Amino acid sequence: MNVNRRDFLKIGMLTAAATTFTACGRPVEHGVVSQYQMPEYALPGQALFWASTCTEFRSDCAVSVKTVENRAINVIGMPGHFFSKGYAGKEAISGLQVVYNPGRIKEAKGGKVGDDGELKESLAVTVAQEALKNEGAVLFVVDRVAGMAGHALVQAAKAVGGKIWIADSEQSVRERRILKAVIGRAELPYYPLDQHDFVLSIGSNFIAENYCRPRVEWSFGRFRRTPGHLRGRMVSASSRMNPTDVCADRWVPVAPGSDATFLAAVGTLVALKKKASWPSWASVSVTDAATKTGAPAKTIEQLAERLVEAEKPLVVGGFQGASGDATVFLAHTLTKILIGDVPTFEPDMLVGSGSVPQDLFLSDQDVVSFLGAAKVVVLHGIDLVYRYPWLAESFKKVKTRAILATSPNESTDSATHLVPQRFWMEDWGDLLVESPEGAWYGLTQPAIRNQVPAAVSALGFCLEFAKAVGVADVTEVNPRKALQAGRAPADWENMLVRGGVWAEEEDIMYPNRAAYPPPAIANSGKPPKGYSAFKEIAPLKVSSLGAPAKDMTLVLLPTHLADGAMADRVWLQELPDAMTTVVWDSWIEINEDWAKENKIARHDLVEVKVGGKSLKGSAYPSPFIHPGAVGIPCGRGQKRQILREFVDLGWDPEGENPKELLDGSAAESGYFNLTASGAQVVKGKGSKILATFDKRVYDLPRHILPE
Amino acid sequence: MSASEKGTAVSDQWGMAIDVDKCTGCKACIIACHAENNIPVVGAEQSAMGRVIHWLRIDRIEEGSYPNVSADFIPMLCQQCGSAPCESVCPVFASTHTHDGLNAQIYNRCIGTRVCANNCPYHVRMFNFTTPTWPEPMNKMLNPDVTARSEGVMEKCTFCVQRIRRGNLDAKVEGRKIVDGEIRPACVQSCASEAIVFGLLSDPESSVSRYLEKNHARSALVHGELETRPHVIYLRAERDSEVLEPRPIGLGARKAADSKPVASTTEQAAAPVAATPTPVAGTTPASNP
Repeated sequence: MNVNRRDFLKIGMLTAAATTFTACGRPVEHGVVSQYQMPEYALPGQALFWASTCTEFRSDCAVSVKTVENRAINVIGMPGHFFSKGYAGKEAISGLQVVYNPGRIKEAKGGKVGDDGELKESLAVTVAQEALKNEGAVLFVVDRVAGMAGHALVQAAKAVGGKIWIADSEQSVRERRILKAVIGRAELPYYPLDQHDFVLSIGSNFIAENYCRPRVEWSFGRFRRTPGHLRGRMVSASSRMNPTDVCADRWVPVAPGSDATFLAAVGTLVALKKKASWPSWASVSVTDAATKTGAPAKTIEQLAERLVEAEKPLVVGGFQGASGDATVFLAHTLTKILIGDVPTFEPDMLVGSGSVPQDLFLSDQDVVSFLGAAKVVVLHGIDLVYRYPWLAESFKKVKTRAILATSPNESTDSATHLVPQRFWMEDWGDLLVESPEGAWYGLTQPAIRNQVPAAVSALGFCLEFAKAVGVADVTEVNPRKALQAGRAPADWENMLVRGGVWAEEEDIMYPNRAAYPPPAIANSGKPPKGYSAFKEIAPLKVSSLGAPAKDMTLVLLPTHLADGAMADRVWLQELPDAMTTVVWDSWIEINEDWAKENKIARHDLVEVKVGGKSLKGSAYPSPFIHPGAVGIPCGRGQKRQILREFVDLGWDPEGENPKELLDGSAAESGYFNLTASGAQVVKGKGSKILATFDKRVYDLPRHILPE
Repeated sequence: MSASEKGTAVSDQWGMAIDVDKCTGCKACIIACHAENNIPVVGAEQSAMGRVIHWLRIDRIEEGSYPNVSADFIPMLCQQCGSAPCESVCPVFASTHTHDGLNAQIYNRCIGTRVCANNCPYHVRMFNFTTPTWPEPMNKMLNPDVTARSEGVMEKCTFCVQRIRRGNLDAKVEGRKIVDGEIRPACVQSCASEAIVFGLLSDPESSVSRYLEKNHARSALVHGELETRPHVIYLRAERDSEVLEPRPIGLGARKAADSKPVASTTEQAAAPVAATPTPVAGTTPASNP
């Protein structure tokens, strides 16, 4: 788009006036400008805000990227957005460190990529040709399929007879299939806590790790403090306290692997009181459950009574324990008995039209055999070697290994075709969400120039790949033009300014919004058409509570680094863990009473042995973990992702990858077991200091807040 | 320069309410603070020596022992004390107090004695033991509104004073008063559960004052016995120890109490309340009995 000098001066003055209101955290929609005018609008010292959508997780927060002189310096939530409520998570903000990561992948391997602006994704065509030559032996490993890129990917996979493995650590496909079995809809659970009065959380860290984080956190704030000061109540049960359990009024520790048994006993009582049907394999007596879980029988009975009495209770289950399938299944079943349905939403609508065969998506167990026979594997957003070490050897034997990645990871060295990928702050993309409050369409648009000239657009790659394999409705490979196609110029401009199409609501946190000037452009336009990729997916039948644990159980602990994907963000490496306050390292968490009996103190080196494998680390005796569990945090132990600039020579803090201890076996449902029983903890020699914040001068005692 | 020319009244005092009952420990506030205030990453070895720099930290405080253990997340930052122990000990007056209630750290006066940190009962002052580095191109994400500190200088939370001053300037240019909610530090802006409320404690009509008034029974000052007069007031978590006992709960009473859609506590706090005495500048509404 050409702007002549006269228009430039007019628009420049308007923008300068608009941006004076936006530099200090006030609502920014009137300062948000279209990316079209960049860089002429880069006034020295004046902040500009670019509407975009963060795609770090399924949260899909509508954000505003603050830039100064074409440098992205902050990410804030988009005020007034009805879904993300004007908030963005730490993942969105820490994305700045990915954009400006000195260790970012700068060169492609195995083919050519275009210069900035030309978008000649030749590598996409190269890989597509390999896929066409090897029809039926192509595997796509992604973290999600959504938006226009998801449509292109799904249709391309169909065209080459390939399969898709959604290897997301959130286990969304697994949960969809369980919900399909319980309520007939293969969507994802939605937790509007502000609409509930009593919540039971079993083996779940849902407040910190769920499909719509800022929204759940916002609703938790309302859940706690409502206009009538009726505070919502929450009880949680797990084998190791996590941040969600901290938020509960009471945490009930249960033996590892017995989460489902605990829930089964509660559900049996509730179903009896409600005269509802309950799975026979999940009928457990209170006495039996109390024996197996270690929880008091009275607690189980009282929980059932409170759930029945509550006006709108909610039961949330997590996959954390060995009995994850049963826990999640029973949680949704119980919610349905109590309130008639399970609240759900669909954050991964594909933009376009088409159908998806039921068997396009592989379960974890299916991947093991398929990977062995695959000739082409395309990884997008997945560090397969780190996340699933038991698949690494099979992966490295595949003839064509194409990886799209922004930062190096444990898998990128093995790529035959390495495609440097643009980060979302530099890229075009879209997504479509259908929620109970309505549909919204998020546009990801570049807020800054592409920092790595060789990096390509993920959407552009998917479009070019799809076109090359003959997907009929993909004709435009330029991502911006593809997103703009069919839109009226005013609607497109509006989408650029706002970051999509969504309902707006007032910022009611501070009620004096009338003081601010109204937005220059009214929100208009309609979301594009979409379809669900999972509508016809097979339901997951669950028929057992899981096998009882033997000896100690290895439990993977959630951290800020997610499943290792965020290890290149030094802010998150230096951010203290929520429960242990450890930074830059991993630890081996054991119950403090058990540690005392076995004469293990903090920082002592210990060895964890599971099925012939072992790893060592510093012990962290803790009151937050069951004596039968040993916890090791996820996300540590990378060698390639961590920025060496921040790791001094002689200091070896990378930690350990706990998944090295897993054997890759699958649960009854066909999904990988992310826990292991039969673990042993042996005290080693010597010690290694853990960098922690607690038990030092910062440890302010609890009595500091007087009653 | 008169008060009106400055854009704020001399008695304006900025303050914060932190609702511990709402804090989920997500730490978005810490990352937002890092991005806004150019806080350096010290690296693994310096972290192990206790030299990590976080202007805002989340203290995890536990009570009891396994299996009857509970925990709370308590955001801890500079309390901007009205009677700051750090200000009286600095030999070069690098730690001073502003007219609007902020404890200011003047970086180019600081000579690094660290006596201020020694005196701070909240341990919220951070010292740059090493030269902060931002390896290229990480320096591109520095915020030009905030000074990047050097080795040998003390730093701490400033309530995002750059945002406050920009807001003051804008209000002055436009010839109006600061609007409540117009200025929000980075931590407040990023807190999705709305556990942190910021505003003028000296204005009884501000959201933060009303929030504190409504939740007065839960309010507490950390180390209040030291009479530091902090401008950060905490609201204790109301953990229900009898959560499993029979008692009325429910949305029904909630709906009867207010027929409007669920709104924020601050909106509810904006409803008419009984008159309260105007706080004296430099003091906090919820002072110790």
